[in-house]
Amino acid sequence: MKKAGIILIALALLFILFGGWLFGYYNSFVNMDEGIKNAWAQVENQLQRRSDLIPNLVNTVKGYAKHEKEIFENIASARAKLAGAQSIGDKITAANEMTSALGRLLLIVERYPNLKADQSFSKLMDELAGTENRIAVERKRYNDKVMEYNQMRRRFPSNIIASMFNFAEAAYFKAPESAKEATKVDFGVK
Amino acid sequence: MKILVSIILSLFLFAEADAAKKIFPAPTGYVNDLAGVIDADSKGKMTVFAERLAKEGKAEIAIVTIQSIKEFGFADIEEAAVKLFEEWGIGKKGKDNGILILASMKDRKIKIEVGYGLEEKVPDGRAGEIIRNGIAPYFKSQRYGEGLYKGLLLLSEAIEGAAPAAKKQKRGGGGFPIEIIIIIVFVLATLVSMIMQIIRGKGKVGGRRYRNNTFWGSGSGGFGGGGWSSDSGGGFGGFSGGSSGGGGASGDW
Repeated sequence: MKKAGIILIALALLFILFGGWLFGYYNSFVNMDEGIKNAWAQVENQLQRRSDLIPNLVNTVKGYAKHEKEIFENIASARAKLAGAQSIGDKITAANEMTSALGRLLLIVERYPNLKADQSFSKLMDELAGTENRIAVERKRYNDKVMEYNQMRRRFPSNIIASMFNFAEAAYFKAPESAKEATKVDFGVK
Repeated sequence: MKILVSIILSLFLFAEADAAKKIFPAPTGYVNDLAGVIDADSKGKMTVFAERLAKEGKAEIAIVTIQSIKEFGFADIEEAAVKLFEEWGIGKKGKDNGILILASMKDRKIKIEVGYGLEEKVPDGRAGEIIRNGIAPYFKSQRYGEGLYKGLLLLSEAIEGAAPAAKKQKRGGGGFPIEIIIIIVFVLATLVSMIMQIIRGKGKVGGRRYRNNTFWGSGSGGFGGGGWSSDSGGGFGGFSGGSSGGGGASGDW
């Protein structure tokens, strides 16, 4: 009787430990997942903020550089793509496209000294630069969260819980390498 | 029991308890002239001014000069400003009403980093204007202290002149039902073990035993963050945990 009791207590203790372990990991996965969603929402806020800036910016630049039609079209299409994107992956692609289009616009602007001297344009450029910076900051915070989560997903023993409950891998928001290349090419040609 | 659950929860909810390495020295006041370019008169005026703004709960403004951003291992001033803001926690926690004016002398760059809570009062365009028309002209003639003081005045104009901004949306998720499940599991588990003990005939349930349960270690320590009090009678008590997200503007001279 006594022996059986001890065994049962040991089992109960194991149950507590195992339960704590299992639900603890599960819980941190859930928290991390929510953290990623939250960080992504911040990224989207900033992407939206940039999209909202564009009509004003384009109109101001158009006033001085009417014939740069191609770049305005690029920006408009990137903006439309971003607005229509559903998955995080699509949104990242569209956002990077917009970053590179805006990068080209900034290079064009260099050729219009009158435009650069315009006070309202300077303010718009501040807003744009600030927003790009905000996107960079939120992107980094998002990526840090994704890294933490993905690491835990793959590390032992938490990987067992990850596969048990289907915690899928989260996508990084990679900085737009193509944007830099595109601007470089543009710069060389013109 | 509750203590046991909370210890276990805190063990598993460690999240970002790791304290990251500090890059910048701790703030010594509202004005941190690491580059040594601010005259005593301007420094005094700025300190008094910033103290008043902080005391009135309007804003916590940090004025910092550094020799170069490379010295701290950064590629651009925006990155340095975000990191410095984060480390010091400029602004009231929750209100996020901090502003950082950072000038890097060798790089000839100025950045005004605006906390989340002041983004509406100090939009990027306004911050850029303050740098271009307020600070930079003084910096061009090496009157750094005066330039920064002018910047501070213009910032306070922007903050105090505007109507109170709408509250920023709260970041952070809600509660999780999973916690309830955990608690139920532990209640059940404890009940089982209590019944076992009763069956064993020992009658007494060792509540204290669980509290001293060494398996879980001594729990995790406090979660970093500066619990500074900023109302410590005039002196500088540190900043109070505000955050920013890259808003504001940068410029050069």
